[in-house]
This record gives sequence, structure tokens and C-alpha cells, in this order.
Amino acid sequence: MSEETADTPEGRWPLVEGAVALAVALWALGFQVWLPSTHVAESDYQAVAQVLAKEALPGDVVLLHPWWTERARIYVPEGLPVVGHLFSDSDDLVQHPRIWVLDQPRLPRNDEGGFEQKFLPSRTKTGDARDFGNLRLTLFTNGRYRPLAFSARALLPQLSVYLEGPDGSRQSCPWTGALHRCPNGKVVAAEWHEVHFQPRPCLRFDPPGGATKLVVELPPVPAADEVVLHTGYTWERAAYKDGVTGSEVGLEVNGRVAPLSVPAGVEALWTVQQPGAPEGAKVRAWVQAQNPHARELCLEVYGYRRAP
Amino acid sequence: MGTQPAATSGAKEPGSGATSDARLDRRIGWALFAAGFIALLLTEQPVGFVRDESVYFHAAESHARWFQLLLSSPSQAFTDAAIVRAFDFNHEHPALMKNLFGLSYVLLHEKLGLLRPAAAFRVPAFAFAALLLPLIYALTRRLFGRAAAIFAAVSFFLVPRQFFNAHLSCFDVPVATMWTLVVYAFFRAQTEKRWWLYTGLAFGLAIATKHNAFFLPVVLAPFSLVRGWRASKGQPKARELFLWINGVYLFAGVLFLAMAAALGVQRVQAGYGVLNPQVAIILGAGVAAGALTWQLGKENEGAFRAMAPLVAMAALGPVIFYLHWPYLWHEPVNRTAWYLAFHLTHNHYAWFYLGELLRGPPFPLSYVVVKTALTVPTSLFVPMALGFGWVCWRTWKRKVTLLEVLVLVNAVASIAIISQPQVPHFGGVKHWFPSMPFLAVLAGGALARGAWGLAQWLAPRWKGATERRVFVALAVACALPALIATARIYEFGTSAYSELAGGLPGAASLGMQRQFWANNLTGVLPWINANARPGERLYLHENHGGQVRDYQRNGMLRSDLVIVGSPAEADLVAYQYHQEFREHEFMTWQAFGTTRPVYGLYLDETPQVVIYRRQR
Repeated sequence: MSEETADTPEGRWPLVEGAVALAVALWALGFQVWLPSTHVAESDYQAVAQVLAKEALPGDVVLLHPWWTERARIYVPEGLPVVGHLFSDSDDLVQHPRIWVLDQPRLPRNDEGGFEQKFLPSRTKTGDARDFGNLRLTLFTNGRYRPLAFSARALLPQLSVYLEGPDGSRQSCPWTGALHRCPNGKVVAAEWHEVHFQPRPCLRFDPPGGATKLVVELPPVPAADEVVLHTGYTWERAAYKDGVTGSEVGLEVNGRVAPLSVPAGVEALWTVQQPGAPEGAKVRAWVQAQNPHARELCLEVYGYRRAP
Repeated sequence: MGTQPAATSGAKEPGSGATSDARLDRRIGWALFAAGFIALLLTEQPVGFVRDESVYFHAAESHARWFQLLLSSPSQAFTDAAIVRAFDFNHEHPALMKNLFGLSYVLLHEKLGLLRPAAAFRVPAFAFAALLLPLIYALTRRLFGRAAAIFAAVSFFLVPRQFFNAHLSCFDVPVATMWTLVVYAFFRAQTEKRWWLYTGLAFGLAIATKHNAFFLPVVLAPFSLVRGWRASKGQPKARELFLWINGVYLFAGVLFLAMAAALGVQRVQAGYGVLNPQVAIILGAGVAAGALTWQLGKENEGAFRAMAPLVAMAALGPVIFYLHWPYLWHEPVNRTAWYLAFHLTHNHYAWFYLGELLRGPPFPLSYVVVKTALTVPTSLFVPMALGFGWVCWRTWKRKVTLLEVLVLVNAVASIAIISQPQVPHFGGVKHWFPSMPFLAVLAGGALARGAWGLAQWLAPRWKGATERRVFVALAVACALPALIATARIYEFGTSAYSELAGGLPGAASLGMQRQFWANNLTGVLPWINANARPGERLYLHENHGGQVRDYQRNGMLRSDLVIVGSPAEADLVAYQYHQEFREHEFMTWQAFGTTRPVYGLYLDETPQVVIYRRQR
């Protein structure tokens, strides 16, 4: 082995190196010059906002593609929900009959095909896509839509909330005008929380510990064809493995229980369903965890009717 | 046009030509250093203060106060109480860089008033980063010629994340410099007198810079051992001395293990003093190995040159490490043990990677290579990969030179260490920066060979296609996209992604970490300063009090604003988009009753810092 080199390149390798380096350099140069042309002008966002302000109907939603293009939130008219999160391409958006897809098709790695594969089933395009610079706005009717019969969050002031001991004894969590405050100091309130990277408008629902359950009981509900409970630990708490226990969750409709175990250390949004609830049914949801440490749950209960 | 590439000719020419060549190389080296330093100084202002940097600013200022005490009241300064007061804060890192940051601050800001506080702290970091350029030049020059060497050196600063980090009063670029310096000195020690000593000194300074350098002996020892073994072949006396040197260290290691087994690690650790068996073993091993190496030098120069740098590292490294850090003076063992234990048991921070939030080990084995490919400009990464492939092929063919192998091994070493699935993976690419200068060397080689190959092919078709012109064209073509990317995004360096990733938008769609270290706040500070109401309550997500202090004392954030600790207390929130911190944005929605931001920093459309205002 000599100390230093006096190289003589061999064969065609140097030509290959030169050609590859040159080709990649020219491609990279093209990319760098092109990339700023994918930016969205403010005027284009404003034009989209004007269309939405004029044409959007109550119950509509704006879905972002790619999911992270949340600059749109600044411009979309207040009151029109904007959905864009890690899993939003496959979100059923079940409460929205119409979906405005706000796309940026020129962005690198936009993956239109992947998006369409997840988004298009049961959706029908309504009219033509409209381009505003680098933005593309397309309206879809949502075949996955289910009319909402009731929502626990919307009924917050009328909810009956209490701690229920293993012997059936109850301690009420009275309504304060803004939230339900329990004797153990914890509250049940309507809040935004992250569950598995998704923004969820839900009830804050913290198990009291031991065998005691935190229970929420809805007032007599309108008839629903399906009752659905979504839950999960908020933020990073789902990832905790040490010093925590799992939680037991239940969804009761007229005494019929659908149980759900929410394990520790698994980051997910958990769902349990009941086949339906007749008019005036008694709907309860509860949570219990042996160790209440870091067991902050975000709980949603919805009653859905069949799509028209 | 010759039959072999002028740019790749590394053979030294005899006589006065070699002297003038060396003189020119020295001038180029100094020019690279000066250009690098000036480039960093001129582009410093927009670079925000990363979370760690504000901690180091504070520690540096504290160290500087101790040096001032040393001048005014030396007897007081040497007491452990005074030392702890100055050096206890942030003692998870050694003191060399923080000493320099602090002294620079006192001199350039407090005494001379030449620079704003942040720039004054950062000047030593600029110097260390700029020193890397002549070092890369020197290594590449020996292998692939002058033009390739200039390209390789400059290319280090054309990687946006590296140029960004080069501005910071942190340790990641300085330790890359020190790592490269040690390898450079080690290489020269194989053929030149006294460089064994410089290797030892450089290693001491390297471990005084950051703990990455503790891996250097592991990387370099095999070279010493193989070369020492080979050089002593056929010379029984030299071979015997060579084996004795190794035996001394082996024996010392066995003695320590035996003591730890018999007495327990705690007792061995606690039992250090001026005169005790532990110290005797260390000193004895050092003296014995030194004496044996000296003897070896009389017997066999080749074997001496192989072993002496390693022995010097073993002897001088700990001494310099101890002497440079006053914090160790009164409690050398316990405090060193704490320092090492801190890094051996470092926390894992959440990190978004290919659509998955990594919260702890085991991390994907391919993480480091993939992250490098997605962040180093592709026009530089591909030549690095080609150059790497070339040297691997030459190794396979047994045509490789010592320097090529040294470059190859050091290009891989830090990447391999961090790739280990149990090692913390946060921090973007900075933890394997010591690999990057060596990859730059390999890229320079690929370009030199490529230009030669292209020139050979073009020459019959176009007379003007000289090797030099083709090289310049190819170098400019490879550098230009990287330069554009660096110019566009260097101040938000932790957000930089390569063309292969599809830039920052492509990386966002791939599910990569969009930013970290909280410095992207600078992108919204002008808006906050212009739009915040007097005395408004402001929550700066992910920015700690030290960063706020530094933004305010450097005139980048209005001082009338009241900084609060949560969205619930705030009127204005600057949320930093992190996949692992989405809850903080939704807490803001909850507190402010809106999901609609008022402003934001959107780099190539990707949300980085989003501002919400409480509805009134």
C-alpha cells in the first residue's frame, strides 16, 4: 500500500462518473430553478377563498392535498372546516356531505395516484376542477356521508357525568356552565386534542383510577342507525409504556355494552360501534383505568343515521 | 490532452517545483480559510438561535467570567467553589469551545464593541468551520489534485445543513474539524517527523471539543497496528518492542477490569487520588508505552511512525482533556464519569422519519444513509457515492493507498456509529458530520476522474474540451444547484432537503422531520415585532427562556412583549410545526377558539412556524 495515490483511471468508469455527475447536476439545477414556480401566490389563495365564501354550504369541508399544505387555513372562510393531517387522505369525513379538495398538483412528490386511491372510492366529482395558479379546487359529493343524529360533545351541558364505583355508587360531576367538574378535581369538557396526530374535537375524559369509572350519560337521544365511539390517549401519552396501565372503555346503548380495551404503548385512534339506538335510548360511555397516571383520553360519541 | 488525468495526479514533483507547489497550496489553503470565515461572518445575522446554542451562550459567558476572575483573583479562581460556579452549568460538554465562545464575546462585544453579542460568541465557531476547508483541501490535494481539492473544500459549505451548522456556537462542526485534523495529522505522522506529537495534541483538543472524538482511537488503531506489524516484519527486536507496547495497554486494561471485578466499579471510581493503584496503572502504562515507543524509534522508523501517533493520543489526550476543563481539576474521575455516563444514557427525542414517529430504539439501520441522501444536495451526494464506490473497488482490487483507505474508513466511521439502532437518532444529520469532510474528498475525486473521462470522450469531437475546462464546467454544474439551495434555505438549515427528496415539499410528503431546534422562529419575528400589540402576551412554542433572552438582547424581538408559558396564557402563539407536537397547536385552537392562523413561515409551502392570535 503506497502512502499516497497517483491514480490512473481504468476503463470507462471515469466517463461514467462524469456523465452521471453531469446528468444529475443538470437535473438538480433544473429542480432548483423550477421549485419556486410551485409556490402559491396569496392572490390565488384569496381567489379560492372567494369561491368558497360564495359556494360552500353548511356541512361542507375543505380537504387538503398534500395533507400538510395548511397554509390554506389562513384564507379559508371562518366556519368552514379544513382537514389536513397525516391520515386525512383516507378520512371518511363522514359528517360532511360535500368535500372541497384543495390540491397543489405541481408540488414534488404530490402522489395524485396514491391520494385518489384512498380518497375517490364512494366520492363523485361535482363539476370541473378549477385552477387558481398552483391551486386546484374540486368539489366532490361524499358517498361516505352519514347524517349526524347526535353528538355527545354537542350535548355537553345536558350530559349527566358521574364517577361510578364498583358497587354502583355514584358521585356527580356537576355542570359549571362551561364544563363538568368531578369530585376528584378532574373535568369533562369539550376540547380539541391530538389523538394519533389527528385533531379531534372531543370530550376530555380522564379515568379516575382504580375500579371506579368515569361515566357520561347522554340525555334521551334521537333515533340512530349506528352509535360510534372514538377514543384514544391524547398527544404522546399513547406511546407511554412504563408506569401506566391500559384503559377499559365501554359504549352502552339501553344496557347493551360494547367494550373496548385501549392498551398502553399503542398510538392509535380506537373505535367501537353499536348497531343502533331507538328514539329516546339511554346511551352511556365510560372509562376505567387501574392507574390514572397519563391516562388522558379524548372521547367522541356520535349517533349516525343511514345516508339518504 | 494526456493519457492520465492531470487533476488526479497526486505524485509530488521533485526540486523547486515541489516547493513552489507547496507554497501555492498553502496560499490556497489560507484563501479557503479566509473565504470561509468571511462567508460565515457575512451570513450570520439571519441565523436564529437554536435551543442548544442559547444554553452554550450562557455557559460561555459564565466560563468567560471565570477567566476574568483568574486574572483579577487567581487564588480565588482556583478554588472548587469558584470553578463549580462558573463551569457547573452545561457540564455535559467539555469546555474548549465554550471557553473560546466566551472569551470571544468578552473581547469582540464587551471590550471592543465590534460585533453584536451573538456574532461575537460565534466567531470561534466560524474559525473552526473555516479551518475545515483547508483541511479538506489538503487531503484531497494529495489524492486527486488541486482543482478537485478546491471543489471538495468548497462543497462542504454548499451543503445547506452544514453551512447552517457552521454558523452556530455549537460543537458539531468544530468536532468535524478536529476529527479531520487528527486524521490529517495521523496520516502525515506516517511519513514525517514530529507529526506523531501533533496527532496527540490534536486528539486532546478533539476530545475537548465533543465526545464524538473518543471514537477516533478505535478508527485509527487498526491502521497503527497493521502498519506497525508489517514494518517490524523480519526485525525481531522491533517486533518485540511493538508487541510490548500493545502488551502494556492490554495489561493495564486487564488490571482495571480485575480491579473493577474485585472492588466494584463504584469503589474504583471513588478511590482515585494522587497516589493510588489506579493512577499508578495509568501513569505506569503511559510511561512504559512511551519509553518502549522511543526504543522502537531507534530500531525501526516505520514501526515507530505507525505506533507513535497512537501512543501520543493515549498519553496526551487525557492530559489535555483534564487540563483544558477546570471543572475536572478538583474531581477528575467522578466528573468525567458523570460526563461519559450522560452521553451513554442520553434521552431519545421523538423524530419523524418516512411517515413514522420514532420515539425510541431500535431505529432503522438505514436511517443515517437515507437521511444523508435526502439532505445533501444530490449533485454533491452522487459524486460522493461515486467516489466511495471507486475507492471500494480499488480496495477490492488491492490497489488502494493508505490515504484512500483512511478517507474511506473515516467517511464511513461516524455514519456507522450513528447507524447503530440503539444510538439516539435525533438531531438531523449533525451527529455524523465528522464523516462529511471525507465524503467531500471522495466527491472531489469523482469529479476529477469524471472530468478526465468526459474530456477524453469529448476531445475528438470538440477541440476546446480540455480537461481543465471540462472540470470547471462539471464543478460549476455540480456546485450551482447546491449553491442555490444553500442561498435559499441556509438560515433555516434544519429544514433543508435535497432534490432527491423533492426538496422540502417532497420531504413533507415523505413524512420527514420538517425542522428541529426551534431557530426557524426568525422567519416570523419581523411579523411579530410589527404586529404585536404593546405588552402583548406571547407564547413561543419550543423556544426556552435563553433563546428569548438572546433574541431580545440581539435586537431581534421586542422587549416589551410578555413571554408566557402556554397558549392558555397567551394572546399570540408562534407554534413550531413538529409531528410530535401537534397537541400544542390544538391546545392553541382550544385556547383561542379558532383553527385559523393569522400568519406563518411557509418554506416552499410547508408550514414551519404558524402564528395564531386570540380572538377578541
